[in-house]
Amino acid sequence: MNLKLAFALMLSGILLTSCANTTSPKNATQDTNPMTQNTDFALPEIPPAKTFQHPLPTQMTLSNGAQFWYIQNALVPLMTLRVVFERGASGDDPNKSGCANFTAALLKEGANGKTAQQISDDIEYIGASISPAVTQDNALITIQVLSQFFENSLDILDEIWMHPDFTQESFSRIQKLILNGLKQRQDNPNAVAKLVSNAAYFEGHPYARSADGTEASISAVTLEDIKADYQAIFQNTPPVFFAVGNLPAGTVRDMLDKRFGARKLPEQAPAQAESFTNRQEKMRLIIVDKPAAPQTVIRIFQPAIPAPSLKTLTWQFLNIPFGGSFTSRLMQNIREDKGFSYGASSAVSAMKHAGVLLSTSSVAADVTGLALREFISELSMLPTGNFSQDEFERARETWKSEFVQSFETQSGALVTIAGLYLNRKPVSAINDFARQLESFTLDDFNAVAREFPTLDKATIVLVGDKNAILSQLKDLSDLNLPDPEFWSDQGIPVK
Amino acid sequence: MKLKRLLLSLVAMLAFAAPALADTPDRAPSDADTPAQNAQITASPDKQEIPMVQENIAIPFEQFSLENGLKVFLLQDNSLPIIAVNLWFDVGSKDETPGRTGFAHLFEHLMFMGTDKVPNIDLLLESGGGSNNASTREDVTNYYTVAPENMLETVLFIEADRFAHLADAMTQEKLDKQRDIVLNERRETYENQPYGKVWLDMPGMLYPASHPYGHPVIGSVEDIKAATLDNVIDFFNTYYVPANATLVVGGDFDKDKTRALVEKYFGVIPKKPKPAAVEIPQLDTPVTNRMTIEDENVQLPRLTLLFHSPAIMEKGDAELDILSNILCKGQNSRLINRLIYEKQLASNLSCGQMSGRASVFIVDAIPLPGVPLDTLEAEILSIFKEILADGITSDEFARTRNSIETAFVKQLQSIGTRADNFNSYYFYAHATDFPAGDLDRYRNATVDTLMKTVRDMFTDDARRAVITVIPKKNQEMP
Repeated sequence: MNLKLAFALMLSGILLTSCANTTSPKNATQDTNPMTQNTDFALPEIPPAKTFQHPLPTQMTLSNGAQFWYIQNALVPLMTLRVVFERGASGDDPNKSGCANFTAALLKEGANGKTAQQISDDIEYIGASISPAVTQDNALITIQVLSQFFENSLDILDEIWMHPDFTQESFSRIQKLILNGLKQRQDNPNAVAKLVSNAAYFEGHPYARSADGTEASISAVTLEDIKADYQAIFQNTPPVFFAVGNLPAGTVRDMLDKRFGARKLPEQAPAQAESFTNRQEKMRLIIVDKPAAPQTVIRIFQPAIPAPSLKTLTWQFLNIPFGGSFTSRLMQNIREDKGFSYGASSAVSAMKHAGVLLSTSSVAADVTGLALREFISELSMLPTGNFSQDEFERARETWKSEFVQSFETQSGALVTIAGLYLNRKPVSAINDFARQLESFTLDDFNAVAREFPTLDKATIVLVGDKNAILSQLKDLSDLNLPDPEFWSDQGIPVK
Repeated sequence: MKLKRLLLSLVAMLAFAAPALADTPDRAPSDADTPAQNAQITASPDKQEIPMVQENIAIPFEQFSLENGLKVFLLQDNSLPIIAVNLWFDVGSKDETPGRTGFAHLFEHLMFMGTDKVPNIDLLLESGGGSNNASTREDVTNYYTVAPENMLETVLFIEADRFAHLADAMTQEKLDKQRDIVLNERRETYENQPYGKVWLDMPGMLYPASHPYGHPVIGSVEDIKAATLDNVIDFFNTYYVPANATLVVGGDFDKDKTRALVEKYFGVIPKKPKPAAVEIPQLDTPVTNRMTIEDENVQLPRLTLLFHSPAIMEKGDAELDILSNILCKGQNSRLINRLIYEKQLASNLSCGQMSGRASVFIVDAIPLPGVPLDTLEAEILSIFKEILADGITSDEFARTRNSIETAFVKQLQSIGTRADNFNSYYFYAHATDFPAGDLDRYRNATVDTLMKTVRDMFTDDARRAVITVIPKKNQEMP
């Protein structure tokens, strides 16, 4: 593989050390006295933007029928591959949460008779990264490697995926490391806020459990559990392959087929989780005590639309002016106007069985009450659908720009195409929303905003100094907040 | 979450999330007297089929300077309709005066507070789909924008306008507002983070207070509160001058038209003298060899070893990136294999060469329950002694090479990153052969040059500084 080929586009711009055709502005570089120069430039006009079409993935199958979606991107001599299994942490035994993650962590700890060290050496020699991971909905193995070593990386993938050893020794070692990591999680206020908000908001649903587990659940996992999870996830769930890279599609497909195309494809098992419905009748307010903390982490969950909905993108679009950009309402109010925080933001998170509107910030401890008031004010205003034309237009331009940038890196393009498949959307949908945006109006935009949830469905988690928070809540009596619940930093209610 | 005005300290915690090479691949070219000696490096027999990547990569560019001293590079790449505008100023916390620590970073925040012509930079930029940010370190402050290609002229206008006129529109209200935000940034990044205090205390342990690196980039609360409007105006007039800056424009544009626009908008910024460079003394030994921090935010103790190391671009800098891979990247790396696998003493381990005009090599570890920090420290030091006595193997050296090549290729995907790394390389190496020249430093490193660096740095115990963090609530080991 010739790396120079990868830079063909850049090479077309021949190095110039002079610029014969340039007309200098009026004496711009000669007269350095600002008093005599015409420096009174007006703001330039912004010309129309070029249109951008995201390349569509080529849809192929391996000999056994496994799906393979690929985008060729010749910019750099690099390959990024992701194998996805549609079974994740939500399938964990409720008493052994974290088991799927634990299983994934063990894949590289010994396979095909090779030790963890030997596998690591194989990976290091070709300069690759091979990363197994588990989300609530899926398990993934992601590879990034220079294209000339792509085949070598597939050999390693074959070993760790198909032939893991799962020895008692590696099991015990990784268990200790995970337990120490969970102890560290309790020290991180953002991680605690995430743990508690998931546990409280999704109460009764598998999403309530941490994909990383707890000290109790990880301690309960046995090697037999790991082996059973491995079979369920990595052997009995059909894999789907997604890749972006500079190699030709047929070449990549043949390389995958050679290693993974002969194996009989399992049937997709039914989903382990049901759709989540927020049945909350009034707002919840939860405090996790971090004595003397200089800041309070505010994390608010409200229902949004689950991933498979066609409306998810619309909600994510609408989030841009609310809390998804620097000029958004939350950032401008909480940070720029009030100075309560270094940043405030929101996101529409869409999982398979639930969607969440998350609004969050870390605010100075002594203004927790004031900041909470602002959050509640902004969230109350959201479903009134009062976005301005300027906010709408900025959001549209930001969305279009981020859409182009998502194709800049192989990882970004990979997430886009995998998202299409996992949400069962046609590949053509990749450009549909960009087209729809052109005819979208402010009225359409505000109509969507009016579908956003009201605060009675909200779960508010505050991680900070309990006494400081309680004393400030007294000043918010006009908001009719519920009585606070108290939870531990391990995500458990305390009496 | 996109947070603007990100503070990047030399010892930023994120740098520890991965070995240094993965995060900081932008380094200098090799020295002429260290020719490639790859023939000496032989991998183990079963690895000989893995070739080392030795391709040359070139990024075409056009370079010119304006009369006022601004240096400009145009990196045209029309593959996607995006542009990047990237400005580096040779000013950072190294330039702060006593009683004004944190000021360079505070000033960076103020650069976003608008001018008479563009009262709200962010509204204008986002109206066209652009986004911006900046960072401050000991050596440098950089400002970067990525936007659709049709925003090029507007972005150049914004950058030139605040470069020329920020001070005209500065007010006490703007200063006070950003001061509050910076204090919150300090809380969020350091005070309310586990082990965050390590980064606040580290500079004073490594350098005397009079040294340009002798205080944290974020500064002290007292100094941040003391900053005045006059300080802002003086700082702007002194450091934000064309001769102290380099502009890189990358992406989808026409070079000739872009050059004309740069000359139009930046050419009218008055010429002023480049501020005198601050001397950065290179130290061998820390001010304090040992420090214990009691931290109420943590349950587990932590050990950090620090060594003054060669400055960025100097001999040994690339070698220490390679060493950090040999020590802490992969299950078979020296420290991870011994401390996590064989002896099961630690749960977390990371290493890194934090390069700047003064550098520090860091080893950081969190023990498993019941393991005293003394035991952990002794084991880490014994590995250094083994390397000093027996050297490193050609296998260990060889398996770092392709990881480095991969890191270079990955960073070239995004036009914003490419522009920033080009600027960084020019800033530190005063050269334009990025990325090939930078990559050559690693290609030209040998086992011998690495071992020379190891001997220079790790032989003398007096060079080492040690920070231990002990949980405040429970000072006994778990």
